[in-house]
Amino acid sequence: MSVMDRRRFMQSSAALGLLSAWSQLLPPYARAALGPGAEMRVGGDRIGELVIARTPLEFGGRRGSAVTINGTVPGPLLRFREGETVTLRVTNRLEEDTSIHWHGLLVPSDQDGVPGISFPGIKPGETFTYRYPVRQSGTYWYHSHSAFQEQLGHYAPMIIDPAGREPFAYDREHVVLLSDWTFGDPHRMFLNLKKQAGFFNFQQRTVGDFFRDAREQGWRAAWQDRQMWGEMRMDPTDVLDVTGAALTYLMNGMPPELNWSALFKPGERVRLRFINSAAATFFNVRIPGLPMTVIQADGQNLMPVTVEEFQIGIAETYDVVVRPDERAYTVFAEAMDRSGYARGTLAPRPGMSAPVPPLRKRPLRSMADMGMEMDHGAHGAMNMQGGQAQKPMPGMDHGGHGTHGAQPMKPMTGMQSPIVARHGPDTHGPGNTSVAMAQRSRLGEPGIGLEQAGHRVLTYMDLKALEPGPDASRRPTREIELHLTGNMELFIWSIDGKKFSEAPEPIRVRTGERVRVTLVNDTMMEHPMHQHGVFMELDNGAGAQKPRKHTIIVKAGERLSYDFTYDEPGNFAFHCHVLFHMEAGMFRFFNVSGPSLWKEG
Amino acid sequence: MKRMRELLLLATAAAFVHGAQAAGEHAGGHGSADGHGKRQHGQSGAHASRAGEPGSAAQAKRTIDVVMGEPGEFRFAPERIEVKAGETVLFRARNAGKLAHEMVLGDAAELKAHAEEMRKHPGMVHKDASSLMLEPGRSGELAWKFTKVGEFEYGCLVPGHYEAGMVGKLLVK
Amino acid sequence: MKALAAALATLLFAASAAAQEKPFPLPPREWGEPVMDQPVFPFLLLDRIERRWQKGNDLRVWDVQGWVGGDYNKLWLKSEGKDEAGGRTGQADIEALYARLISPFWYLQAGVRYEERPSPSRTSLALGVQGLAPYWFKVDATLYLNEKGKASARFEAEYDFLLTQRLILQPLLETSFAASAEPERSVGRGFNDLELALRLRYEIRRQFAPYIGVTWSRKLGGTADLARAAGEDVTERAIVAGVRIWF
Repeated sequence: MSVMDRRRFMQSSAALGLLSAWSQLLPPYARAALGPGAEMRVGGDRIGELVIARTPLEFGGRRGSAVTINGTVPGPLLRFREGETVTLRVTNRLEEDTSIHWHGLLVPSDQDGVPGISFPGIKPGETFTYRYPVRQSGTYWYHSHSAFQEQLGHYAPMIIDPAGREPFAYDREHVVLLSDWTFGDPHRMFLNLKKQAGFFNFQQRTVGDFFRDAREQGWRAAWQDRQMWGEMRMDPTDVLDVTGAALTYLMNGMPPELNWSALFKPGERVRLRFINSAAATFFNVRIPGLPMTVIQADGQNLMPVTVEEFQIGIAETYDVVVRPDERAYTVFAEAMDRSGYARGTLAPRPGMSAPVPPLRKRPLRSMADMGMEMDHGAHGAMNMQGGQAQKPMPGMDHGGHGTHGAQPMKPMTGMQSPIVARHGPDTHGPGNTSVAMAQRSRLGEPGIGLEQAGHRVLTYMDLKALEPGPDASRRPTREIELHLTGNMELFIWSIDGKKFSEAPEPIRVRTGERVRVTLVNDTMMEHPMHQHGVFMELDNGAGAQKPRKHTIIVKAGERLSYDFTYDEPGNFAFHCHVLFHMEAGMFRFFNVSGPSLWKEG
Repeated sequence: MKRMRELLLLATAAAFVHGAQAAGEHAGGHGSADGHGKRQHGQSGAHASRAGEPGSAAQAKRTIDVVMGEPGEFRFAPERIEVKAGETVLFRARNAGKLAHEMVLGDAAELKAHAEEMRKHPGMVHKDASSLMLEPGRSGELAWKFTKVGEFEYGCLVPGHYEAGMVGKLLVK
Repeated sequence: MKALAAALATLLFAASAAAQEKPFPLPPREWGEPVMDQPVFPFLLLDRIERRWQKGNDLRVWDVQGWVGGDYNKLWLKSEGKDEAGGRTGQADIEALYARLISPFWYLQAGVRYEERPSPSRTSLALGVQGLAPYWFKVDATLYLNEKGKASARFEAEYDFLLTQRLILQPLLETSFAASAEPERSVGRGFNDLELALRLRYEIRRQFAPYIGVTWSRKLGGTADLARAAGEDVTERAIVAGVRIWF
C-alpha cells in the first residue's frame, strides 16, 4: 500500500474510531489508541521468538530497506517481570552477523550481546538463545550491536514490571520511542563524514550571517568571534554530525506526517515512557501546554520533578506522568540542532491534532564547549601546549542550587558553570583536535540551545534517586580518569587519544570493588557514554540519592564523575552511544574479575 | 461610549479578581510574581475548600484510616473513599513512606490549581484546616464535615507528588 | 607428621589460590572485533576539471588527487596539468606520496614527482605538508629535489566563502619557486610564477559541483625574462568553467 493510500486510510479509519492493522511494518502498540495494545510478554515458560530480517520500508514516497525484528520498525515491545527468568530465541535471517544487546539490563557477561566482547555474534541462519534472570524494573530498550544495523531499524522498547507495586499511580501508559531513519547507506554516510567534515551540516555560517552579526553586535565583536573560531579551526554550528538533511525523525516508527497518536480519557493520569533509540540524534522533548512530571530516568525511580521540557540523549529513557485536559496536545521532539523534528499527538479522541510549534533557531557552540575560560577577548587561543596540570578541586560546589525544587534565579549557561579542573600538557596526539583547558561541571545546565528556553528544563542536578542504591554511600577505593577525544576534521573518535584498535588493554576491575570514573570531554560535542553490565551512579551533589543511570551525557568541555560496583565478573563494553562515534573508535571494555556477588531470589 | 467600555472593563476585572480570591488563594504575598516563595511565606492563611468545612472530632460519626506512602511512596491506601453528605468524618492518617507527605481535601480543579502554586513557590508552608502534613512515621488526625454532594479528591500537594499520582477519589453521596 | 605436612600443604595451596585468583578471560580473537575503527578506503577528488579561455588559446586544465588508506597513514596520488588546445607546451605532473598524520590538521607527505611536461621530463623527490591552516586556509606546500640536483618548491592555498549553504566562492593562490635556474625548461631562478583565481561553485550535491571563475597568472623574475625572450605572454587572464567531483 503506498504512503498516500495509507495516510488516507489511517485518517478515515481513525475518524470511524477503528484502528485496524493497516500496516505490515508498524507494530500494534505504535498505533495504540485506547489501552496498551499488543505486546510480547516473556518470562518463565513463555519464550520470546525474535527474527531479524531485511524488510522493505516505504513512506513519503521513498523506498528503503530496514533491518527489522519480527518484521516491524521498531521491533516488538518486550514485557518482562522483575524476578522472573526470561528466555529469548533470536534467529538471524540476514546475510551478515547480528546481535541483540539488552540496553541497561544487568545480565551475565555472555548474555550482554556485544560481538567480540560478550560472544561471537549471531551468524546468518543461526538461532541464539538468550536466557537470564531479570533483576530490575522500569523502561528499557534493546538493539543490535553489529555494524550499523541500529541505524536501519534494529531497535525496540522493553518494559519490566516491578515485582511489587509501583510507587507512582497512573491510569494509562504509552511508549514514546524516538528514533532516526535514513534511506541512505549508513556505511557510506560514515565514510562521507571522514572525507568531508560537516558533510551533513547545512546550517553553517555564511557571509550573510557575518554581515547580520556585524549589524546586530557591531563589527568588532563579529570579527573577533570569527577570528576566535577560525584560529581554532572549529565550526560553532557543528551540533550533530548527521542532521535532518539525511535523517527522518520517527516517533514510534512514524514520521511527522503520519502523526502517531495516543488516546486518553479526560481526567486520567498518563505515563509516557520516552526512549531515545536514535543512532545519531539527541532530542528536546516538550508537550506545549502540558507540564511533565519526571518519575524515572533510565528505568530507575526518581523523586518526581515537574518540568516543561527535557533533553534526551541517545540511549537514555525518561518516564513522565502527565494529566492532560480534554483537548489535543502535540508531543514534540525537536532534533537538538533544530534541523528537524518528530511529533505525535496526545488526544481524547482519534483524528485530533494540535498545532505543531515551529522549529526554534539553531543553537551555536560556545566558548564553554571549547573548554575556554574567557567569554571574549584576548587570544584565548586553544593552547595546544597545555598548561600546568592541576588537581581537581575537592569538594567543589557543582553549581549547587540549594533546595530541591527551588528554581534557579537565572538559567545556567556554559560560562556560569564552575571550572573544576584544568587540563595538563598531554594533548592526546594527532587523533585529537583540542583539549578542554578549563574543565567545567555542567550538570546544572539543561543542554545546548535550552539555556534561554523560557520555561523549566530538566537538568542532571534535578535527578535524585527515590531509593538510595545499596552501595550509594560507599566511598570508592579506586579512581580512573578517561578523556573523551576526537578529531572533528577527520572524524576520528577515541578515548585518551586512542581508538579501540589502538587501546592496549581493557580496564581491569574486580567484583565488589567500588570504582570512580571521571570523564573529561576534550571535544566540543556531547557524548552519551554507556557502560554495560552495571549502573553508573552520577555524582551530581545528591549524596546517597545520586541517580543510577546506564547512559550519561557528558557535555562539551565537561568534567563529571560516577561510581559503580560490578557484582558479576565478565567483559563489559563501555562506549559512546553515538553510533558513528562508536564505530570510529570511541569504545573500550571493562574486564571484571572475581566471584559473582549476586544471588538470585 | 468609551467611558462605558472602560467601566465595563473595570467591573469585569474586579469580578475576576474577586472570583480568583474566592477560589481559595492564600492570603498574603502568595500570588506575587517576584522572588522565591520561601521569603514571602511563613504566613498561614485560611484556605477555603470546596469539599465542605472543618468539623470537630467530637461530632465525627465515622473514622477512616488513611495510610500515606502505601502501597508505593506516592500513593494512598485506600485509593477510594465514599462518604455521605452532611457527615462529619475523622480521618486518622499515618505516613508509612520515606518522605514527608500531606493529605489535602478539595475538588479536582482546586487541588490542581493549588499544586501548580506549590510548584511555582516551593518551600511554601501552609497550614489549612483542609490539609494535614506528616513527616515519615508520624500520625495525625483531620476532622471534616462534608456539606456538598459530588466528586472530590484527597491529594498530597508536595511538589511533584500530586503529579506523580498521589491522589485518591473522595465520593460524597 | 605426614598428616600435619599434608594439612599445611593444603592450607598453603588454598592461600596461594585465593591470593592469585584467575582473572576473567579476555574475549578470544575468533570472536572478532566489536567495532571496525580502522577502515581502509579510497578517496578521489577531481578538484578542478576545467576549460580555460584566454587570449590566444583555450586550455584544458586538471587538478586531481586521491588517496587510499586509514586515518593515520595514506598512499596519496596527485596530478595536475594544462593541455594547450593548440597542442604546444602545457604542463603535466604526477606525484606519489606516503602521507602520515603528524598533527590534528596536517599530513606530512614524502614521495616522488614525475614531471612529464614541459620537456625535458624530470623526476624529483618530494617532501611536503598538506592540511588546514588556522583561519580555514587549505594549504598544500611541497619541496622538490630533482635528478639534476635542483631544488624547487610549490605552494597552494585556497579558502571557501559560503555565500549560501551550497554556493561557495573560492579564492586561490598558487606560486612556485626554484633555487636555481633551469633554462632548458624555461625556469628562472627565484619565484617563478603566481596564479590568483576566483571560482564560484554550486554544490548540487556535496560530491558534485559545477563552477565558473576567473584566473590571473603572471610569470616572475627570471622565468618572466625567459618567457619574454621566447615571445610569450608574461601575464595571462582567463575565464574558466569546470566541475568539482569527489567520491
